[in-house]
Amino acid sequence: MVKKSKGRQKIEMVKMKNESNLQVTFSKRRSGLFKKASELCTLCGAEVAIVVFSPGRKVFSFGHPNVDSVIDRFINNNPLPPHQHNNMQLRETRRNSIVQDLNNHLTQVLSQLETEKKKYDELKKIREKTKALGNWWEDPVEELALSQLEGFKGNLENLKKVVTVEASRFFQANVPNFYVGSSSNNAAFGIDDGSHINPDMDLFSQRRMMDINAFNYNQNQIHPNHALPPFGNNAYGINEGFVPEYNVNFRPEYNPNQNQIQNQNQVQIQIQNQSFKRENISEYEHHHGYPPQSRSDYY
Amino acid sequence: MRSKIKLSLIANKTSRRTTFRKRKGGITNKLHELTTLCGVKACAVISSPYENPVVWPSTEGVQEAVSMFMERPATEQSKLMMSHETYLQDKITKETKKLESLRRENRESQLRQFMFDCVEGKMSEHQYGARDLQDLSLYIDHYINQLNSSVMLLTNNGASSSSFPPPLHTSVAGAGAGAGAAPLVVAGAGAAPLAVAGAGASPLAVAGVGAAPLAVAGAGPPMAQNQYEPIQPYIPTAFSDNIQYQAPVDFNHQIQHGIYDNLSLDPNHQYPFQDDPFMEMLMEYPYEQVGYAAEHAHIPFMNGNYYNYHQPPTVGLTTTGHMPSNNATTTTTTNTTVV
Repeated sequence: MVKKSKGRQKIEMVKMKNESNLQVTFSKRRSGLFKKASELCTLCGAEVAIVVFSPGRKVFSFGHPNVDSVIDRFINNNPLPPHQHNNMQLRETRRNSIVQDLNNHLTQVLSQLETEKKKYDELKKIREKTKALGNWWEDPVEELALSQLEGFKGNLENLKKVVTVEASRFFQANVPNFYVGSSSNNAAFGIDDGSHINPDMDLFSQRRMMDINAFNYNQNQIHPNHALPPFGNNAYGINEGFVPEYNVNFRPEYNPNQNQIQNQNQVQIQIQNQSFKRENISEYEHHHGYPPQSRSDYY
Repeated sequence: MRSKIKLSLIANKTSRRTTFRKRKGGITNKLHELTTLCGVKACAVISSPYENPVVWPSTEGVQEAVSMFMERPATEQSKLMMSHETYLQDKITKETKKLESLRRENRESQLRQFMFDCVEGKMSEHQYGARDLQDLSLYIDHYINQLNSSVMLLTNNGASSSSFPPPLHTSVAGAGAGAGAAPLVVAGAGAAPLAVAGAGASPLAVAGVGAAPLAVAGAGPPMAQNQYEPIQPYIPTAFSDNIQYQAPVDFNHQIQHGIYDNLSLDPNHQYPFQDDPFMEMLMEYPYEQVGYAAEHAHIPFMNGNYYNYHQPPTVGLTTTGHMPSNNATTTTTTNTTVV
């Protein structure tokens, strides 16, 4: 019986005849040997020097702390590593610390890799289960017929529109949570407290809390008949303080468009809010020094 | 099953020595196998505070190998020399690349599964956020491009068989129309004049056949209207076709880009400062509009700000004037959502 893989199979301990296989075996076994040597150095604090000459007459070497130092000590027949000099001890301690950090990092990466592999296996299982259902549209694209391709493309385009609207809704939903005082708002407070040691910040935080409450209250009073997202109102307030030029673009457009239907208004509001906010944030980044000055004006 | 050992110095001295002996034997065994299988020379020097230096294969062998090693030029020696630090760093780099590759592959599989579940109407079963929807939208674009490539491939193959007589095209279009509703008959009738033109009729007939399954699926009137739009791009030249199709995609990408920028900037701790002036005004002047205007009369373009503040829906309409073609797409999206 001929096995497909080399697993669980003993090989003859003689020189290999196939040149290509010999090269591959050398490469794999050399890396494995160096890995074992590295582990020995880490676990037992040993000093190791390994020199290997490849079939191509190249020389590979692994050494801890260094190939030359270990070989020199061996040649000079000096069994004990010298610890007389403080300088050498300090250097050795620093090297051990570096090696320890590298080992920790390697362990972390390997554990994450393990997690991703488990997730990969789960996804593979789900895929096989779905394939059993016999849905033709989940086959590879190359195997579909022309009519199937056209139909599925239409479905995907419709789905894309739905997803875009859903994403817009998600973005809208994030802003009210922030202003009502959700966990993200608390996090913002935490950041403020950490970044500023000025005692006046305590008063400022209190005022901001009051402002948030006032915002909700005033919104109901000023706009009793419109269910507007807080994002829109807030953006205009920001705009006034930081980007006065931006207002020019809105004023001339007021009269010509007042006859549009309500349905389009709602959709346009979402789009306008997104682009407006993006523009505004970009401007804010440019005017980095404005917030403190602006605050002083209104206090 | 033994547990995975921690890669650090063993604290217990006795177990450390035991481990050293065992692993030392393992390393010498591996060296023996390597030299036997590949017919190469190698040597090793293993020192520890507990024992005398251990050499492999023998003192004479080590000296011989070291002599060969020293005969090499210094550059050749150091080119492939590896210390413990460099070895670990190389290993970390390699494993990190492998991790990122696997992570990316997993993400794509998840998005693919999510997309198919949405097509089957199981969107509510998934827990998703704005970032997931954005990635899903990009993946759908990618998949649509793949579908378009396959469509072009099959269409080109169909074009090569355009040597068939025109009546065959008419009959194919007629069969497609028969499976659908009355409007498809109009599309089928439209194919007849183009059949005289030659190969130009093939795309139209194909489009007619492709629309039938969706009509049978029971799509509402808005969906039926959407199905007719793809027919138009086939009549003009290929250049116009590409332009017309790409426009909506750019519009959607613009929205996504804006969304992503906003989301990424929300956690910024400086962002809360931006709302202070407005909230301050709300607090100080909840009812007095005249006082509000008088207090900020010094700000330029006060009238414009006044209009924006009190009638935001009207401000949003400015988009309509600049992008009339996209407005229809947006309206269609709203209708789809309502359905």
